[in-house]
Amino acid sequence: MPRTKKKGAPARSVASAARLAQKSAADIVTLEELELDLPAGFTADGSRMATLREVLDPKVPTRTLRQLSEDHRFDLAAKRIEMAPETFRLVIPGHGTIDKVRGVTEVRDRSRIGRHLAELQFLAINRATKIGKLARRQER
Amino acid sequence: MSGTVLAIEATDQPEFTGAWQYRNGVIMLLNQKGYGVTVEDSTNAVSEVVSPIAADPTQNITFISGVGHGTPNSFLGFARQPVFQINQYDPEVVENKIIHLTSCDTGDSLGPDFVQNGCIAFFGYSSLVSWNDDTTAAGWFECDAAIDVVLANGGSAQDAHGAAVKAFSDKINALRNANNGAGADCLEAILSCLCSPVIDPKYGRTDVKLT
Repeated sequence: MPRTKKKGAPARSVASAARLAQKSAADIVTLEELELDLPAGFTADGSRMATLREVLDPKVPTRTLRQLSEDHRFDLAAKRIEMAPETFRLVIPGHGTIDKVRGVTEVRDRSRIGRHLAELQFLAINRATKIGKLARRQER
Repeated sequence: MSGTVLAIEATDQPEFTGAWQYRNGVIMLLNQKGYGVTVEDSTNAVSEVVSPIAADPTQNITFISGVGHGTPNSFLGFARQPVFQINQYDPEVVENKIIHLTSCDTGDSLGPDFVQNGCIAFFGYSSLVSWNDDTTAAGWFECDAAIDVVLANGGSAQDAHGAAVKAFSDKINALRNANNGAGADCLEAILSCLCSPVIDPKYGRTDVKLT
């Protein structure tokens, strides 16, 4: 998957992007680069994952999270964790601290922890999609 | 005369270190409001110590508030030993009490079991909880403490639920605005598994207040 983050661009969240997008449409593209390049759906033919940028693009036929099979949803969650920064950590009381390697394994195994991690990724996708759509509307 | 609150603290479990400052605040507030508070922590956070106190009518325990690990069927204290477990406690332990457990999973089966055995209102969480950093963990403990704060101030179970939801919502927005989207997602997931009588009557009555 191509990484198009501008060199030296700050790793800010999409939430921040949405807030700042109200000030200047020009800020949107730069601020959302990181999140926009993460997988957030699948192409309509199901042949590959689609980035958030593609999901938000009406010219690219994609399937959103809701339209995906369970297999594709878990593939998506595992891929997003795989692409997360090396600092990825999640504490689950009683289950320890989950790092990227364990996180991907748990999601692929669809263990209880893996399902929890996947749910968090789905929340992140929904949040980013919502903010992305809002930002696009601001652009127009 | 006000009743007594039984606080169960699994202080040996490092994941909950961030909870103690909020717990201490709640205990101070309960004292100020005239409630007695019995704290069982460390090696005393075990069934053998806690259950006789909770079941003893002379102790007049009206509220059990605990922090520790949980499973769908049990709440765990010191060294992850079960403090309360389905089919392993006497109904007198929970009868006519409000119970609030800050832990994973206990809302799944243990909470409804408490209510079937006479607990008047249960607060807890029906799934795993998680956090990405200390700020988010503190956010959970702070929002969760809103339940006890409202009850201490004379609010109903419904009021306590409302205060917790508002606290979570405010904290989720604050984390998003602080560029901590992962933290906001964690708290959103925790809020989605918050259990209380407002969510379902199997968690008790919405109108009850702390006595």
